[in-house]
Amino acid sequence: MAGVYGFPGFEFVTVPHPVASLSEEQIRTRVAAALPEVTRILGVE
Amino acid sequence: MTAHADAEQGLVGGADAPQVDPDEVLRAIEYYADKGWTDGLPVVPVTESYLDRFLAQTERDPSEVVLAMPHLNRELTVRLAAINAALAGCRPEYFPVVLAAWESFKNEGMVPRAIWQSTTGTAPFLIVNGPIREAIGLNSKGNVFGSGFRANATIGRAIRLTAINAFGLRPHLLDQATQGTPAKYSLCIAENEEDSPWSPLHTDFGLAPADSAVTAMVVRGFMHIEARHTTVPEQLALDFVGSICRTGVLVHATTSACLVLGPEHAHVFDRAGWTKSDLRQFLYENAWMSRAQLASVGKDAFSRRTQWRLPKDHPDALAEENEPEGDTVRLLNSPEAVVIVVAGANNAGVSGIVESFGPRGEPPAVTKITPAPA
Repeated sequence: MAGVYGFPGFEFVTVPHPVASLSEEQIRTRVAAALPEVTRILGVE
Repeated sequence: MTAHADAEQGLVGGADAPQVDPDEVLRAIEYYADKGWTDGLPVVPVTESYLDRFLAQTERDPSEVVLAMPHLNRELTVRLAAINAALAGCRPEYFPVVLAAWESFKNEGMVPRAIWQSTTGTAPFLIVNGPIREAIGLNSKGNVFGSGFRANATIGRAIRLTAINAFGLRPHLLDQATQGTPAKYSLCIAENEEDSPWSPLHTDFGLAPADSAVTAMVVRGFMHIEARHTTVPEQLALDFVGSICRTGVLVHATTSACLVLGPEHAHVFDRAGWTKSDLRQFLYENAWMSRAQLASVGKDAFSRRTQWRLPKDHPDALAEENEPEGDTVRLLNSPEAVVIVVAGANNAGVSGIVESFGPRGEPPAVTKITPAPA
């Protein structure tokens, strides 16, 4: 999709499957794991 | 296989076989494969002069946009649709059917909104009605969902090849289907109007019997129904209900289907005095499940965001405020959620259910085929 919009190097964070069937606690764990990557890409110090 | 065996099988060309260099033909086929302009099967090489024969089948301008996918910044033109119909192996005279099919997908609405990129992995499904069936040799009788008929095979294939080549919906890339379906290769049938006791599908939506038309649906798969055991219309209809409402296909509040009745089954209902509308009404009234049954498979509540079914204790579950009270839950939102057509040979109690991804009560997308210019 990034390539289609002309940004082939667009950086994004991936979260492992599954997601839809997770409990609230498991979702929080996934978010906690992904958050440092999100803030790094957004340039948050 | 020996040359003698080939001859016995009728696999040896006669004096009328074209005198071409097979190595050059193979080189062209491999070139197209190497370019990725394929669904995995060999495609037909297309020259400008061959393309012109397709474009001569319509008065539309080659640059006219047939269907756009704004989220991909890509558009399908008449010319691109013709190239892919030719690649798919269509004869030029099939092209008006292909164009009408794209018009139906545009009006149906899910295709321009990225449904073919989804993990669900849906396929295009076409139903053709009217005199064009006979004119171009579309099969509506025996083996209607099977192989062996060029018009059915290539018109259905043209849609999927276009998705790949014009919109870039290639597997593992912009097509993220988890498993997909064999229907993605091709799924195009004609209604067996001659052996049906009822009016043809397109006439249910305002067209005349002498019109030709294409109905297009986005579908998840095909289910074979073998029901030779009864001639009691209620039993037969309830057998269909059980398959239409299986829990595996029930992702939203209600479901939808295209019931493709074999002629024998259609006549069971007709002999009992049931119209198509009576059958739809019966299916609707009997399409329900107990709340306990839904709970047992974890589908007794809805997602707050997507409205998909999920277990009541899921963190995204809504309360049951959008589910009617009572111990039973309706699984079709209206009689019109089931589209009924007749197809296949009149030789056994076999029908099919095409598991559509909508519409759920709205009329299906039917487009009148514009004949080629005289």
